[in-house]
Amino acid sequence: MTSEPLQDRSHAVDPPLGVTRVRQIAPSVGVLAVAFAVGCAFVALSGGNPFHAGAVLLYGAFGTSGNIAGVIAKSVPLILTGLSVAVAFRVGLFNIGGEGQLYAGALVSAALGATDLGLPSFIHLPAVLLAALAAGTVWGVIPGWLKARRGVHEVINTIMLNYIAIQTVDYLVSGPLNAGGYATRTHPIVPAATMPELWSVEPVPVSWGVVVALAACVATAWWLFNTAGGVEFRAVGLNPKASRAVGIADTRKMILGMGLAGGLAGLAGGLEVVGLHHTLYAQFSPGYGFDGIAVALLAQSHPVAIIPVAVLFGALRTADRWLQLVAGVPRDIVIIIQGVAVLGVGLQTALTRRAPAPHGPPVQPATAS
Amino acid sequence: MIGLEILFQLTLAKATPLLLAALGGLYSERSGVVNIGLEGTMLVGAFFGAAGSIHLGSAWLGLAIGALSGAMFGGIHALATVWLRSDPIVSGTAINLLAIGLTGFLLFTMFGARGSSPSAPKLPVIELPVLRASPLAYLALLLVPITWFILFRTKWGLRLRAVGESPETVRSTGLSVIRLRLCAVILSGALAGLGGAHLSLGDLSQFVERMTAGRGFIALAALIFGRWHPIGVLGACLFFGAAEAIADTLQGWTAAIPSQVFLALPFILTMVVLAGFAGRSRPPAALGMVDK
Repeated sequence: MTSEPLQDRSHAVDPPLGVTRVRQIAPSVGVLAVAFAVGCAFVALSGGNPFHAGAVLLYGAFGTSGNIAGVIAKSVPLILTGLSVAVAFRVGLFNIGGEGQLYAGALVSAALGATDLGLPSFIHLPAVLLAALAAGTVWGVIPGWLKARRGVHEVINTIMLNYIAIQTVDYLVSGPLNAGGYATRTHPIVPAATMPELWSVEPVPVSWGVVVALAACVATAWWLFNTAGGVEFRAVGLNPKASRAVGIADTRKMILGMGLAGGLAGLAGGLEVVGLHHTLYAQFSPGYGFDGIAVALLAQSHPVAIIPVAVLFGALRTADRWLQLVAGVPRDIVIIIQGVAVLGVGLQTALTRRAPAPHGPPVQPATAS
Repeated sequence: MIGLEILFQLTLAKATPLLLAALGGLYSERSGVVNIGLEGTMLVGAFFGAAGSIHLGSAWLGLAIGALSGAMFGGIHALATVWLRSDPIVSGTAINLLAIGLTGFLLFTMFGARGSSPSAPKLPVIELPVLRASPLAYLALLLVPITWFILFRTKWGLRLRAVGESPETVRSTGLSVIRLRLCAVILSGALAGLGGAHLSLGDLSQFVERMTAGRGFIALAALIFGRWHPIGVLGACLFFGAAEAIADTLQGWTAAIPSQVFLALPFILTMVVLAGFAGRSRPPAALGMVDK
């Protein structure tokens, strides 16, 4: 797609300087409030009591230490895929490929982590995670390169790459990498490649993966806001033409951005394998890559704001089965809340966008073509 | 050659929902509106098609309900992107989430079921001397020349293509860009809804949660692979349908080529074509631009 103009990605950028933090987060809080109000309406529609359902959700998410551990387990991949989408937004690109990058990372870690190589844990485990990161990076660089060098819209290619990765994993997990038996999964991860436990709690312990995810957020925030490279990176997202005019290699930043985005989602896949499942199942992800889009949008692509939003969505996705079991209302309401929130961010961004010059030229693509 | 005949029928059956959704996407994208919400719109059409068929006792009426529900979801996308100028990718993402949530919710509240709906009256099979397919397959095939005629031989089609290439020019002639695009996106929703209804009323005779399983995205790929042209889209859908038919046939066999290769093939080929490694595929010039 040679001549495709860049989208208005104003949801991906900072509000003007001098705006207080409260005013920064107010739009997202407002959108979430509307989304939850819609959720309450659906609870009432299905014959439930919204207050009861809310209480059940709270208990299901945070009522016991086991539930809290469940929320953390779901939040870790959401933090990283949200961060992945956010990084791409910052350079003006839309990464719908988090799901495929997650699968790529998971696949490589399952392949490298299942054999005892005689290596100590402090070498084997980081090597497996770095490999997951690298695999995700490759899966992100492909659409980044195609966008920067051949002008193909990244949205199409990331969608295509999702399915290619999922089918590849499906084949390898049921075929060459299959552990045998009835379950379609790979051989278990050896102890040397397993992420150690941070909090041993029943039924599912929390691994050190959560620390890795949080560190990734802090490191990304530091890089984006406190280094020259990060400032240039964001400049390309804000105005690719002007950035090129001042000598920033914008196409290289785009490839870097998609590579980073892919790497973060790949890391999420690796942590799922070595920190949670300790094996790789076919279709192990309930759509974390896509949920990352909602997380990044509501966090306005701020690496630290990603954390509370991911925990919120992690909590909803953990507690939704309680909604059905205890409150008797369908758990799908949680997905409706998410959908309304995404629609709301889109509308909110559009409605508050500065009115453009009536006959101003469209923003031209920052591609080499 | 009984085997080949069956493979052709299977190909047509697999291509039908793709073709309907891709032709829908053609109207939307030719008017300049990216529609990645095709996936969710198909899912909604599949659900309401089955629900309508069950409640009204007729697959034909179910089909109408499925198309109508698709048009309504198309309408949401149209209102959000064309009228309120929301980012089309964000809106499409929301449509896909809402479709999964809403169909699951309604499946539970209307039928007390999880996973799949009760069985619905199914569309009849129409037999011609050479073909044996659901009526929607014939409709989809007929829609190819009809769409070609509308786009390239009518005034409305000319305006639609113009609005996808240069909305400023169309506006300067005094026509409403918004109205043209609203029509196109709603029409695309209706066609995607029909495509989804084929899954629950022509292919199976019930709704299954998330039964579109990425077909909306394959339709999107077919639209690009077919170079935003009705004839090209037909070729792409038949080709992708054949890939799925072969994958289905191979499943459960220990074949030399794994079935997943055929399932991934449409996506790989689309990337290759888009990248210009095998002929160029150029989208409408104003595609995806937020209208000023």
